[in-house]
Amino acid sequence: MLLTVGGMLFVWLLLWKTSSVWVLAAAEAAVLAAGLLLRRCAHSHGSRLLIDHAAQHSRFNSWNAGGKFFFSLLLLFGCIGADSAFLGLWILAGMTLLTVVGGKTPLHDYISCILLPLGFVLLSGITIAVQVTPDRIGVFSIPVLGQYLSVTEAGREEAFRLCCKAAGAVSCLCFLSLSTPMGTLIAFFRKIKVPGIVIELMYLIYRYLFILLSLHASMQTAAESRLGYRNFRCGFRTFPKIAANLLVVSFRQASRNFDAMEARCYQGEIRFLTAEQRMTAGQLGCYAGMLLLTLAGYFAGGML
Amino acid sequence: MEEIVLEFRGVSFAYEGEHEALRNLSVSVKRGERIAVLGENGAGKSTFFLLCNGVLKPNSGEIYCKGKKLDSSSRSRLMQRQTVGIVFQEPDSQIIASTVAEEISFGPMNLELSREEVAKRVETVLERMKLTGMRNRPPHYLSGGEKKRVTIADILAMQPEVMLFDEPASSLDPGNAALLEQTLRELSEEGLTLLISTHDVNFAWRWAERVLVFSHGELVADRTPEQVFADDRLLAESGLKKPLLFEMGQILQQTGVFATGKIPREMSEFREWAERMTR
Repeated sequence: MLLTVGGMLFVWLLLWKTSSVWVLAAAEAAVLAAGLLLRRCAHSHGSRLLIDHAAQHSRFNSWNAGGKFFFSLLLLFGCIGADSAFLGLWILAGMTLLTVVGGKTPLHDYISCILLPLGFVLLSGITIAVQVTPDRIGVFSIPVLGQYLSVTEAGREEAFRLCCKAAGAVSCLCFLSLSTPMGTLIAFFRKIKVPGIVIELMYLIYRYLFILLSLHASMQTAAESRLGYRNFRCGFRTFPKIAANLLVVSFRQASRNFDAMEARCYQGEIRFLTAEQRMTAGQLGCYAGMLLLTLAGYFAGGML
Repeated sequence: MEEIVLEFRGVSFAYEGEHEALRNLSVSVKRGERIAVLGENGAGKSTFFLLCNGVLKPNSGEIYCKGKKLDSSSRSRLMQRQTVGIVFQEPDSQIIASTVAEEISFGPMNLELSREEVAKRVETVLERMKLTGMRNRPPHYLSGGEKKRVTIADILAMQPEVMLFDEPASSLDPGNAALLEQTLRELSEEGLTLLISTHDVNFAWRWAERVLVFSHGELVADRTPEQVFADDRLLAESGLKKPLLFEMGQILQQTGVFATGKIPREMSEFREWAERMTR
């Protein structure tokens, strides 16, 4: 809902006084429709586990993690470095297609994952477009406390370009996180010599996330079954109790886990045998194709 | 030929700032034995296991592993942990990796084996525990029974000589519990020494050849299942019940229906027993 309102506000800021009122109205209607549609599509169920689940089932899961990492990083830097609104949108479209069509990630999952970061991008876009000025300047301005909130032509162009760039960059990261399970990614980080302590923390945090989530879920169900969330007041009392309990339980769990690790000859370093994922010509070909398309987009954007 | 793999001599242990969890424990475990460890919650079973494996160090007394006295050197601790493996009660307190195959490789990697050797061991136990199809699955998408199998595979991959199971069947459905028992039998036939802590006296009666009973931090009995379950006072004092089949056999013997023979351990034995007697 917030996203739809934000989107409509943003479109209004962008298009006000640039073309006819009808274009503005049409754009607003389109954003409203898209917002409502996305709301239906992206109804999340256990969204916190969604990324993990999608990555496990992506067709790119078996691809070499390093390849995916460098490819998305390259596009991400390209997207930011090229400083072009068109290229940002072009990459957003390309990466969406790659993830959804190539990786067979359900569109619903993809939208649920990308909507939140896009929402943040949009909100920050609005704040960039609006400036505080002492005088009435720009396309329009609103007086607030003796000063003016103004939107200038340059400001809104800047905001639009930034938003497109950020959206493109977000789609690159979404591709990576929806195609590579955390475990493989961490194993790859170890290979490129990220410090051991970071790697081990990543492994343990990832594993604990799920243990604590399921613990929390069962505590919450137990509290709910005793009317702990009957109304706002009850919920307000119940929530901190669950949080405190979770802390105690997680300490106990950590000490048990440490015992179990010690029992298996843990000597201060967590190491696993990870499966090799070979880089194939097909994978390289796919990346090369995407990069060529991006370059084409860059030049096409330059000509527009 | 009866080699002692693990021996406790007058071992006591107290958790920090608490009363003694184990008092003056002396016990020895021979190679290939099937031992059930019984006792109420908090009787000291888990502490005993953690001492066996060297996670905890005794406050007093000595522990011998394959005839060698254990000290605080890291070499002797490593030897002990390599010889004795524990399957923990809660799979979630044992599993740390993000896929099944990685999880199983954790122990062998810690033993500093070559990559090939680790890979070979992981393959072998994956197959053995019927986990081959789940090798790349993250542990949080496994069922309780599957997680249990992963934790057993974890330890098997380290190829220990003694395996300790802390209440292995406590969270399993009957199907998975039967599968577990089957695995335990196979392991025992392969010559592994097994110690299993359990509350299931029926299982202990079916499976064990020796029973250790703990009560309030002390080892109160170390006898055959027949002797332990025939001792009514011991059972009452340590909060245990008689196995169903054993009690039935006792009643049938006391009432004179069946006069001879050992009390059967399994239903099939009971059937044979009954058929023999009525013939």
